[in-house]
Amino acid sequence: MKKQLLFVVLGIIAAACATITTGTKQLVTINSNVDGAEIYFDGILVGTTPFTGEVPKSKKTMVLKKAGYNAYTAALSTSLEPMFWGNIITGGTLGSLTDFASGAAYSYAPASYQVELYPNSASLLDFSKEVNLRKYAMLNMSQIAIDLANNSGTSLETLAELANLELNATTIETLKSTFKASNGDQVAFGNMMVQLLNS
Amino acid sequence: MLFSHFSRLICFVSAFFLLFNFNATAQTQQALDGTYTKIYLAFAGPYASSPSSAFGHFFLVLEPDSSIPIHLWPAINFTADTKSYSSLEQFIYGIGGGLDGSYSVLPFHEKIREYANIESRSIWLLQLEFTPNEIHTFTTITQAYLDSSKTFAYRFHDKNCASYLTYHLFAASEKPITPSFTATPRDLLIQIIKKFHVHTIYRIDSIESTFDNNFIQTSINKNDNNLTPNDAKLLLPYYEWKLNQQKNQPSKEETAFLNKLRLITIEADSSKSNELLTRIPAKSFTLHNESALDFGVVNNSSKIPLLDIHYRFALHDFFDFSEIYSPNDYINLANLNFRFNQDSFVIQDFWLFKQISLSPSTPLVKRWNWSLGMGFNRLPVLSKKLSPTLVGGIGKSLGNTVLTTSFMVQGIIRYESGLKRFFTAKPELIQRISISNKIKLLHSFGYYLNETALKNPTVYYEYSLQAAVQLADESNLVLRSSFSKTDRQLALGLRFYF
Repeated sequence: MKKQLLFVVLGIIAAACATITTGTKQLVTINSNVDGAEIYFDGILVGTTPFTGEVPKSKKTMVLKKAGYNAYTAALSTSLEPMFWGNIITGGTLGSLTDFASGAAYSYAPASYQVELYPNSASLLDFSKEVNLRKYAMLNMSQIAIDLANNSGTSLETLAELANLELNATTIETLKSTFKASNGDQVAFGNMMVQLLNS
Repeated sequence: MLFSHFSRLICFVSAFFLLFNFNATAQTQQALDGTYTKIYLAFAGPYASSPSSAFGHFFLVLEPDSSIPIHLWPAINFTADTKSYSSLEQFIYGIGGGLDGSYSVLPFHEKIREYANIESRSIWLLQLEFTPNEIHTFTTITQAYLDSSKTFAYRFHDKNCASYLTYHLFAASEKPITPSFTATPRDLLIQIIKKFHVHTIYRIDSIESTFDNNFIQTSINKNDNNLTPNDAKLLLPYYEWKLNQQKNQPSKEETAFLNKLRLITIEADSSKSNELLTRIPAKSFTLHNESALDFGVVNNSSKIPLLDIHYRFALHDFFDFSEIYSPNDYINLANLNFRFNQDSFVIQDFWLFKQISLSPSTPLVKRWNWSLGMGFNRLPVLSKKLSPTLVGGIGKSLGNTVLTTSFMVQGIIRYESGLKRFFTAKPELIQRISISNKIKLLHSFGYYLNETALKNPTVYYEYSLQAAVQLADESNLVLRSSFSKTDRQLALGLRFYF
C-alpha cells in the first residue's frame, strides 16, 4: 500500500510542479534602498541589509528597521503560492501607493528581495517615484539591455519616462554608461537609476 | 487500516488543493487619474503548471490619451486575499465562500512580467468599443471602488476576477450581462466578444515562443569567451527565464554569467526592436465554450449499438480546437460518459477531474509530463465494475507541433466492493499528429499490469485510435475507437459546445 500511495503522491508532487518548495530553511537575499537596515524574523534580529543567509521557513513575520525610516513589516505566508518562500517570482509589491508610507517589498530574482523603506522626511510622491523607477530598472534590466543595443524599444522608453529623461541619443549614451557602471547587477543598476533621477 | 484511510483522505484533499489554488499576489497600486481613450480586456492564457490557473486570468488595461509607454498603462486587477489563510482554509472558503477579494491598479509591465515572462503564458488584449463617456464612467466607478479600499466576497466559481471586472464593464456601458452559475474568465470573454463586437485583438507572446531554440543551443555550447554580443542578445532572455524557474537562489556563477550576458548584450548590433504587441486577426482568436456534449453511436460486443453520451462541464481536451489552450495540456472537470440502448444503461466513467500534461521537451526546456485524476471508472479490461478511482502518472514527450510521441506510466488505484483495493500500472505510448489546423489524430498503445501480475503474469493491452475534425466553431466530428484483447469498441459522434 505504501508503495502505491507513494506513486500517487509522486504524481501529485509532479503535478504541483513549481508550487512546492522543500526543506525547512532557505537561502535568501534581502536588500533595501538604504544599507544597514536591521532585519528581524519573528522579533529576532538576524542581520542587516544587504543580507544573504539561511532563514527557517517557519518564520511568520519579517520587520526591517532603520533610524529615520518607517519600519517595514511583512507577513510571510507558507501556503502553496507564498510571496516569500515560494519560487514563483511575481515582482509583486506588498502594499499600495497609499501604503508606501509603510514601505514596499518585491522579489527581483528567486529568493532575492528588495525592501523599500520610507524616509520620515521625504515626500510620498518623491518616494513613490524612486520606488517605481528602481523596481522597473531591476525587474526589466535584461530587456533594457536589449533595447540599449537596439537604441529603441518599450523598456527603454519606459525607463526614460520614469527617470524624467527625454529619450534621445544623449540619454541613450547616459543610460549605456550607467548600465556598464552597474556591471550588469540589478541592485546596483536600480540604485544608479535613482541617483540619475535625483541628480 | 486507520493509516490507509487517512492516507487516502490526504490524497483526495491534496488533489483538491492542486485544483483550486489562488493567486494571492499583491502588487504596486496606482490611481486612475488620467484620461483614457481605449479600454482592453486582457486575458492571460491557461497555465497548466497550476491547475487553479487552468481557466486563465482576466484583467483590464486602459490606454491613456498621452504618449505614455505601454508598460506604464494601468492594469486593473481583482484577486482573492489569501495571505492569512492556510491551504485548507483557502480551499474551503474558496469553494464555499468566505474569502475576500479586492481591486488593485498596477502598471501593465508587472502583469506582463508575471504572465508572459515568468509563467510563459500569452496575453491577449481585446479592444472593447467603448465611447469616451463610457470609459470615463468606467474609470469613475472603478476609482470609487479603489478609494473605498473595500473588500468583496470572493468565491471561486462565480465571484472572481472575471465576474467583478465584467460587472464594471457592463455597468459603464449599460449593456446587459447574463448571470450564470459559473463566471469563468472564458465564459465572460465569450459574452463580451459577442456583445462588444470585438474586432481588434493583440497578443503579447509568451517568452518561450520567442526563443530561437537552435541558435540558443549553439550559443550555450560556446565557450563563454567566444560569445559575441549578438549571441548574448539572443541568449539573455532564455538564460534569465531559466534561472527564474528555479526555486532557489541562483549560484554566484549563474548570477555572474547573467550579469555578463547583460553587459555584452548592450554592445550588440542594433536591430529593429521586437514589437510587444502583435495584431492578430479576430477570427483566429478561437474559443470554444467550456461545456461540451458529445452524441455518438458506439458499436461494441453488444448486438445492438448503444447511444454514447459524453458530458463535460469544463474545460479542454484533445477533441477541442483552440488557439487559446495549449495543444498539449488537457483538463476535464466533471466529465460523465454513459451509454444506453433498449436493453441496458451503463455509466462508463465519471471523472471529477482528470488532467494530463503532454508538453514535449525541447533542446532548451526539459519537461516531465504528468497526469492526475479522481473519479469513478471502469477499466476496459481486468475489471469492468464502476469503482472509485485515483490516477497519477509521470512521463516524457518528444516532438514538435506536428508529431509528438509520449511515454507515460500511470498508477491506477481502484476501490471495489467492501473497499477492496486494486492497483494497476499502465505503461503507455501515445502519439499525437496534427494533420492540419482542423484535423488531429491520437493513437496509443498501453498495457494494464495488475498488482498480482507477478503471480499471474497475464498482461492486458489496449490500443486506441482517436481523431477529431473541426466542423465549425461550435461543433466537431469525433471518432473514438479502442481495441483490447477482450473488447473492441468503435464510436463516431459529434461534439457540441454550450
